[in-house]
Amino acid sequence: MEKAVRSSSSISVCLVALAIAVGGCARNAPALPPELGNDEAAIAKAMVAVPQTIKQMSCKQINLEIENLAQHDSYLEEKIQANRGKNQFAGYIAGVLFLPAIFAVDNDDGTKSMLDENQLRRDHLVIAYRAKECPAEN
Amino acid sequence: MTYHRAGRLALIAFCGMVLAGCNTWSSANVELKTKGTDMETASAPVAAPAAAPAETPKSAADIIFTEKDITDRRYETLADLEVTVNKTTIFHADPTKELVAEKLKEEAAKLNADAVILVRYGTVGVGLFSWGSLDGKGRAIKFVN
Repeated sequence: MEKAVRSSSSISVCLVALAIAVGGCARNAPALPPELGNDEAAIAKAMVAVPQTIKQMSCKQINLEIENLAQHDSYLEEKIQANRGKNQFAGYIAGVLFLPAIFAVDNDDGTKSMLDENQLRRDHLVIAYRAKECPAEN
Repeated sequence: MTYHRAGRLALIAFCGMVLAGCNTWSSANVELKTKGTDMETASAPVAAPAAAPAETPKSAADIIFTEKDITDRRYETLADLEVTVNKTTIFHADPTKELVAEKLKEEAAKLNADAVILVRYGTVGVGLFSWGSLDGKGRAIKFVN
């Protein structure tokens, strides 16, 4: 009897841990783009995946677009950060005191996928920048 | 019984004090790129691959760091870097992009790289072993003449 109670309590602990891990979890940095180096064939191959709208951009437009993406990223990150305190508090309460508090955790899935989309677009812009042999911006 | 409880409390307090001293802990993964072969994976610390013998070792402060590519100089890729910075307890401050950047630079310096390019970051959140985890990736490169 005592054994059954102990095993059910360890299952609940595992469930709570899982719920906390899933709720408000970290978003991994997107994967690095393929290595281009100075290989023209690799650059041409990578350009195939770049959208036509980016291919048509000038070097100046590409730089401007990269800056715009950085601003949009900051806005999205602030949005996620604003939820962070609440998420940690809810996760802690769910883990220690009251399991249903886990439903108060907001994982910001939409915002995180927007950040991933921005990074993909930035990678395409960087490939186009190299393919067009744009001057360094430093 | 009371001794047991007091001992346990003392142990918890001691662990708390020890953990309070370290705000963050980190880990790194370095995927070395070797010429003419596939990538090989190594866990940090990693020895610098075939660096020129007379070259002075780099420090993290010497590393050029950019989220873009470098287009005005030829370079070779040394490694793809991935680092994660974690906060120690729920009560510590979240890890920042600056901490991740510093860790990426340190890893690049170990490889004697000139720059880390195409840097990107994740978003802080609960990780497998931490209440606050932030990762970053970048490509360590070396300029060629």
